[in-house]
Formats: sequence, C-alpha cells, structure tokens
Amino acid sequence: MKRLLLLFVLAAQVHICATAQSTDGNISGSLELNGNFFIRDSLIGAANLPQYDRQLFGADAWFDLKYSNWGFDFGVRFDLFNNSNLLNPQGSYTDQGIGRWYIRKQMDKLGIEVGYIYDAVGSGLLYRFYEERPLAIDNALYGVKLSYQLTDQILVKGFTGKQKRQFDTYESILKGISIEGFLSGPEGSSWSIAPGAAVIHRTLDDNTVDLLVSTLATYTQADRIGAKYNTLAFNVYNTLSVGNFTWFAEAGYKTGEALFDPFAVRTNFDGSKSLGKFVNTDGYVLYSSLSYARKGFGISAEARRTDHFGIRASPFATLNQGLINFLPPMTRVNTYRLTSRYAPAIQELGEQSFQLEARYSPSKKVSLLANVSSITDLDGLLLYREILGMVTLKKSRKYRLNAGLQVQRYNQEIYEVKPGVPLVETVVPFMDFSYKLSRKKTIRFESQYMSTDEDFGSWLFGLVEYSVAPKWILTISDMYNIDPKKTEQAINYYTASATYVQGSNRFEFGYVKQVEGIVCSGGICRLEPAFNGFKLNVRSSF
Amino acid sequence: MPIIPEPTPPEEIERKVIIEEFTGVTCVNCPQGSAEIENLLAIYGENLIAVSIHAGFFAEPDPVRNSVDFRTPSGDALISFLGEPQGYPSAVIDRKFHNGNTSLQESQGTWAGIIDQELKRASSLSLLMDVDYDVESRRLELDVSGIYTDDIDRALQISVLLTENDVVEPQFTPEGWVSDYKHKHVLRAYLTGATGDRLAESAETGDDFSNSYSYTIPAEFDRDKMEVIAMVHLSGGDKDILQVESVKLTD
Repeated sequence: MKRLLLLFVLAAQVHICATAQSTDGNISGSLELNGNFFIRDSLIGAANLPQYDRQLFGADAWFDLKYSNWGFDFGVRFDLFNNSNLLNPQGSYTDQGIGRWYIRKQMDKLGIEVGYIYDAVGSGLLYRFYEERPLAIDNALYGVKLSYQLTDQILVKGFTGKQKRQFDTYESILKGISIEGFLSGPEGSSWSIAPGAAVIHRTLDDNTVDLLVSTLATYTQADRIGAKYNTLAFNVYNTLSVGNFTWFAEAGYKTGEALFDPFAVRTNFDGSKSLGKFVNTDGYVLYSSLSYARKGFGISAEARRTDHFGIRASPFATLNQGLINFLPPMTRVNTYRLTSRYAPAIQELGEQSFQLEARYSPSKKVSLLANVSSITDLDGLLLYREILGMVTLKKSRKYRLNAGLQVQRYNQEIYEVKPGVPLVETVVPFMDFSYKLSRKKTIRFESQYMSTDEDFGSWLFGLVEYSVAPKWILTISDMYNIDPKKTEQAINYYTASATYVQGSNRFEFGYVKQVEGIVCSGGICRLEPAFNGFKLNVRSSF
Repeated sequence: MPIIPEPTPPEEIERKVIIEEFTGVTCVNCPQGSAEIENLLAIYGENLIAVSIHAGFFAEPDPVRNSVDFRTPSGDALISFLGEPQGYPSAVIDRKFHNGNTSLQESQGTWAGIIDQELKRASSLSLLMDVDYDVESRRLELDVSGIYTDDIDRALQISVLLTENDVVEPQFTPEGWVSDYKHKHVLRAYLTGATGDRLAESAETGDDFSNSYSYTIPAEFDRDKMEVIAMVHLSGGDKDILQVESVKLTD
C-alpha cells in the first residue's frame, strides 16, 4: 500500500510540474499540532504518570493533504503521537505514520470511495465513522463505499470494510447498506418528509471468536452462553416537516450477541457471586423529537430510550474503543468551564432521557433561553437532571451579555464509577460580558460560581479575554476551589495564554493548571487526570 | 449457530502462565477482578500463577481504616514499567500484547480467553525450582535452573518474587468497607530487580543456567501462606515472559 501511495503522490507532483499552466489540479491541506510540556505538581495529582516522571514532553499532530484533479479527490493524512496522553490519559502512547488516505470519484449517479472513510447514517445511531481528536477517537472505516442516486429523491449507499484502530484495524468485517429519501409537497405547500433506513452487519473474525469461546469456557454451567459470529442491526427513521413544525422519529434494533456486562451477577466455582460476565442480549433504541420554530420563538422536545444498544467492532473493546454507532447527547452541551464540569456520558447499556428547550426573543436586543433535561436508567434511578435559564442582552457592535443560572443533579457514583459517593447537586450562576472598546479591540469577562457540597466542593471561576482583531487574543483565567472538600487548602487552577492569528494560521501558547475531571466531546466522555504545564497549539490551513 | 465451548483439556496445556493483577485497598472494582482470578485458578490449578501488585492511585491506604501498606518499591517500579491501567480491574498476562492491544494492561473481560490461549502456546524453556527453608533463622535458600528448548536471539532477564496469600486487611468493595477481607497472593518482595536481573544475552537450544537466591522472611509475613515465583522474560521493548514456575512454601 505504501508503494501505491508513493506512486500517486509522485504522479500528482509530476502532473503539476508538467502542466503548470493548467488550473485543473487543486491542492489544499491543514495542520493541527498539540505540544504539552509537563510540570510535576503532586498537590493537584499531576504526578506518577510517565509524562510527569520522566518524559516531560508529549505531542500529537495531524497533517492533512487533499488534491483534486481529473474528477478524482485524493487525500492523505500523516498522524503523529509522541509520548501522547491522548489515547490513554493515564499512560503514554508513541506511534506515527499514515493515519488516513482516500480516493473518491463521482461518476454521474455513482460515487465510489476507497480508503479510510468517514460517514454516518441519520444521526449516527446505527453507524458513525468519524474522528474526535481530543478523545483520540478515529474509527474510520477502512474499506470501500459506493453511493448511487437512484432517483432525484432517493440515495442508496453501501459499504464494506474493517474499523480503524490507531495504525491498524479491528479484524471484524463490517458491511452495511442505507437508503435515504426526500419528498416535498407540490408548489405552494409547506410539507416535506425525509425517510431513511439502514442495515449493518458485523462478522467477527476467527481469532476474536476463539478468544470469546475460551473466555466462556471458564464460566460455570449456570452462566454459560454461546458465541456467535454474526450480528445484525438495523434502523428506520423519518423527518416530517409541516409548516413551522418538525417531527423526527427513529428506531433501531440489534440482534443478540455476547456482550460484557460489568453489572451482571456471576456464579463462581466455589459458589460465591461476583460481578461482571458476558451475557447474550439483543438491544434496541427509540428516539423522537418535535420542534416548532418561527421568528422570535422556538421550542423543541426530545426523548430517547436505550437498551443495550452499543455496537462495537469487538466484544472486548471497552470505553471509547471500537465504537461503531453513536448516541448523540440528550443534554445541553454547555461551554462555560463550570457549567460543563459535570457532563453525563451516554450509558449505552440502559438509559432513558428527555430534553426540552425553549427560546424567545421579544426584540433584537433581548433573548431568553430555558432548558430542562433528565436522564434515568431503565429502573428509574436518577442519573442526571439539569435546569438552565439564560438571558442574552445585546447592543449590536457594542456589547453582549449572557447571564443565567444552572441547577444540576449528577450521579457521580454511576458516571465516574465511584461507589458510595453522594449525588452531586450544583447551583451555578454564570455571566459572560463582552464589550467592544474600539473597532478592533474587544474585552470579555466571564464568571461563574458553582455552589455544591459534594466532590471537590464549591468553585469560583473568572476569565478575562482581551482581543485585538484580527491578530491577538490574550486570556487569563482562574478556577478557585473556594470551599475545598477534597484537599486541605483551597487551590487556584489558573491558566494564561496568548493566541496569535496570522491569516489562516493560528498559534496558541499558554500555561495551564487544570483540575482532574470529565472531558466530554460530542457526548462521549472520559475521566482525565489533572494537568500542569505549558501547552502549545498550532492550527494551519493552506 | 451459537458455539458451545469447552475448556482446554489438560493434555493440550504446554506451559504455565502468570497473571499480574494491579489492585489497591481503595479500588472498589478490584474485588471482582480478584474473584475472577480465583475462578481461573480453580480451573487451571498449578498451570496458572497469580500475583496481586498493590500500586498506583488506589493502593494508597485509607488513613483511618488501613494499618498496613501493601505497596512495595518493586510494585511501584512495575506499574511504571508495564504501563498504567486504563481502568480497574486490570491485569498483565505473560507481559505480552494481546489482540492488537497497544497496552500490556488488559481489562477483566479478556483475561479468561487470553489465559486459555496462552496455555496452549509452546514454551521455549523449562524451569525447575529447588527451595530450602530454615524455620529458626527464617532463611529461604532457592535454586532456579532452566534448560532452553528453542533458540532465542534476544537478551533475557530473570525475576524472582515472593507473594503471601490470605492476608487480612480492610478493602473497599461495592458493599462498602470489608474489614476481614482476605487479600490473595499479595506481592511482598522481589529477590531480583523489579524489572529482573540480566540472565543471558541470548540462548540456544540445549543451553542451561542455574542461579541461587537467598532471603530472610520478615517476621510479619506468614511463611505458610507464601509462594516463591521465578520467571524468565525478554528484555527491551517486548517484555514477553517465556516461562514461569512457582513453589508454595508449605511443606
């Protein structure tokens, strides 16, 4: 494969040189680089990891190149991880190489794509091949995808391949087919529907099944289940838009397979019981959302019920690894430091959730927002509840003020696997004020206070950001554990950074001291240890 | 159709396998990992050797409830040497990378399958241990000898360690703190360096070796519950354990 790659890169270069006058070819790319300089600080727990003890520096980089010509699209990406704490926040990962390559061709109604493919069907409930770099998720499909425009309204797609796993792949074979349609009413009417359906089929490789069989062989007769090679999952969905209303409904089902359930009770050989075993179970998910929007007012409600609906490339993949499907977050994605501190991770084994959001703008200057969300497990145990209200006042080109209040209940015992800890209850008033000092200069103040008696205790957060358009942004912030419950003294977690923007290049350098916590990106979360040190980020596109 | 499995029969077992579990007294999920290991020991008997290494964040004793600290300098060196667990329970099996994993640490769901497969893998050396113990002086004399049944082109290390079984000390479990919890095969001491002592730069079929070790068992350890383990492993990026042997000190 490497030789093939080299060949077409060389061919592309030769072609550019030979036809310098031609404007057929189009080359573009981007670079993303993160460098972390680790400084030990045992007081906050930034210690006893290889990076703090001996490695001192970690980096991740992605260098992307795209070329279009002769009706083809080519892409290649070089990935680098040097002593990186991205894949496993508690460890160190080093590897580098071609992280992605692809070739695309659209011929009239048929589209062909080969290589590492990113794609999804619907909201990703059945399959979503995507990357989320901050969490080291890159589950591209390494294979072939075909798409065919059956009619103007109907698109059919099919694929087969294996899921990417860092610089290798999982050995199971994935194949799927989807059909999406769109139909709108005649001229003058205001309705449209967009139905779709998809099927995905996974065949486990012999190695994985052998391992599964060996594992199940060690269970007592009471717990013995069989291992299967094949699993099928399908979904149907539809979006109906009538006037100002939009109604979306989706249902998915997965056939039985051996899944590791960490809460299943197992009978040991000496008769005692313990937790954690493989169980044979099918799964389903039901989702629906209804929204209404018109000028100045919008309201939306959504609900979802999930029961063992996690599809992975291998029954042994855990945490964020080997995910094929994606369950979108059912709670508000908050952006402020303290309002996003306790974010619920999706529980694919069993979860029931709903969310309601309403937006109202009586005038151009004022807008109001209210959001309520709730997540319970299938037995009714409360996992998460949030109520948020926010007011936005703005005078265009002069100032903008966001102020509001968030009240949360967060089941830390389940989400962070810390049995016995109480439910975290928080009240977070927040405000965000940005003021234009002059045509180019803007200053922004952000402040939140988290009042809670659990976990670390109460926090106070403040941020000042000064930007000189278009080149400079200077930021300084502090997260102060004002009422510490976990540490003896109140600790300041401060950051100071400077960002320089030059054209399409962005450089950011700063000092960061960060408390341990859950980091969520797009609904997927994980626990990350504290960080202390310098960070360098470079983003460039050309 | 679903496949109904049976465990590997004894005649297909080629070697002994070691599982090094990382645990701690405040690690609430670890007891279920320990129960899993006890299950596997019941099935595979003397062909499976287990060590529980108390190291890492959850091994720090609770200041109120614990009176003993199970952490050892060798345990601390090993968690750094073998890599931090991503979650608990976590264990390293024969210090090999399994199933394309980029970390030596494996989560509970994979242990049984990996051990079953490891047991069927042919070994490149056989180990013999001869143990002598003097009750009065509490002195342990140990001879470890081995013969290579294959050519090995890599540098080799030898590790010798002692574990103690059924040590009673409070442990945090999903049901809360259990004060009479019996800790199984706790790592107590390394008679060699934590990452092993250099044994040979390479070996050929038919080569042999013999090393002697001695150790005075401290008074607070119960000799009857102790086990001495010897293993030969590769040195460098791959840390594969080639063979392991153990002797219980009860006689």
